[in-house]
Amino acid sequence: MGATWRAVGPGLLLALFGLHCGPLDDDEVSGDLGQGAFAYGCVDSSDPACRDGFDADEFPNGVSTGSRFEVSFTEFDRVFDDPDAARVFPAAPAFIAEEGTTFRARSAGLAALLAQQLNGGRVIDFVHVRIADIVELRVVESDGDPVSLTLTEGELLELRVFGVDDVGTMLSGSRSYDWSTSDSLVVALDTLSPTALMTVRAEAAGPATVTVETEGATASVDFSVVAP
Amino acid sequence: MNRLLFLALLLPACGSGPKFEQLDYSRVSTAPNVVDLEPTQIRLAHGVAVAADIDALRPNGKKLESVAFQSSDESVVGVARGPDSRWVFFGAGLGRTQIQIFSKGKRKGQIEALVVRQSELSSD
Repeated sequence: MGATWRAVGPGLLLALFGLHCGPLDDDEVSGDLGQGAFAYGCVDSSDPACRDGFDADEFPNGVSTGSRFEVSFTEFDRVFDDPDAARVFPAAPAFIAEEGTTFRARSAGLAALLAQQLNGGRVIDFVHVRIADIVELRVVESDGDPVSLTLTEGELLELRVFGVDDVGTMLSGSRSYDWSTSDSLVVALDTLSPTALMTVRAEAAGPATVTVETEGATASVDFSVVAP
Repeated sequence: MNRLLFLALLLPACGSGPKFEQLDYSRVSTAPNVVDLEPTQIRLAHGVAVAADIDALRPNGKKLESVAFQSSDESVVGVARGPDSRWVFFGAGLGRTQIQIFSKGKRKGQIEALVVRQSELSSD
């Protein structure tokens, strides 16, 4: 028993108490001071960083102006892995605003988020988030493939939209999108919810254009629906 | 009378203690092209943060002890203690203010602190 405990006990304790000393998770980056990990979280499914729910595939290279997102902090080598042990706050409200438990990117630039002890004590670490304007919207199928422009009557197709910056980097963050169709008798929108995902339904043969907009950026897809 | 005058001249010097001359920075965190830390002035880009070990030096080059820093206007420059005896400065808003320097709880001087647009520093 004693030998077994000596062999597995420390690891078991670390697992129980969540000591954060291993490699970073995919959605994390180390702070600039190397004291802990900042994790990115999505507010809803409209954030292209989280294709499978609310867990980000990675800490994004940039977030879009006007979008919302979450960032939490876990100090390295902290035995009790309590996410409430530190608060994360923006250095400059002009770049990032706090909205409850989420953040909103307000203007383009490099913006620091600082992790501070809850009692208003020392700053433990900080990370810089790049905020950029969307210069182009891109529409793909929900699995990332290019959009099939020819649909057969009765066919359903799920579209996903995301914004990119001036060098083509995908920008993360949750935001609202407005979808519309030029002819709902040819291609109908399955839902009017203002998210990054939209299911379109081919109703009748003919041409129709589906357009998506978000704060100044627009993308269109020209469909051709054919009879079965 | 002369003795009183001598004491009167001596008192202010005793009260003020060692003078502050300039700051010396080390272990500065990575913040390329957006932070400019100088001995008697710092320039920060709006929105960014930097951490450094900071010594406050007297005119004779010796370090002031138990140094602490405080912003005169937190809406321009934020100042906080960081890890491993470092200090963290961040550009909270555009403008100019001062960072007050204390040693053993007594104010010893100040330096100018300037927060500028990111484009002004990143083009340096």
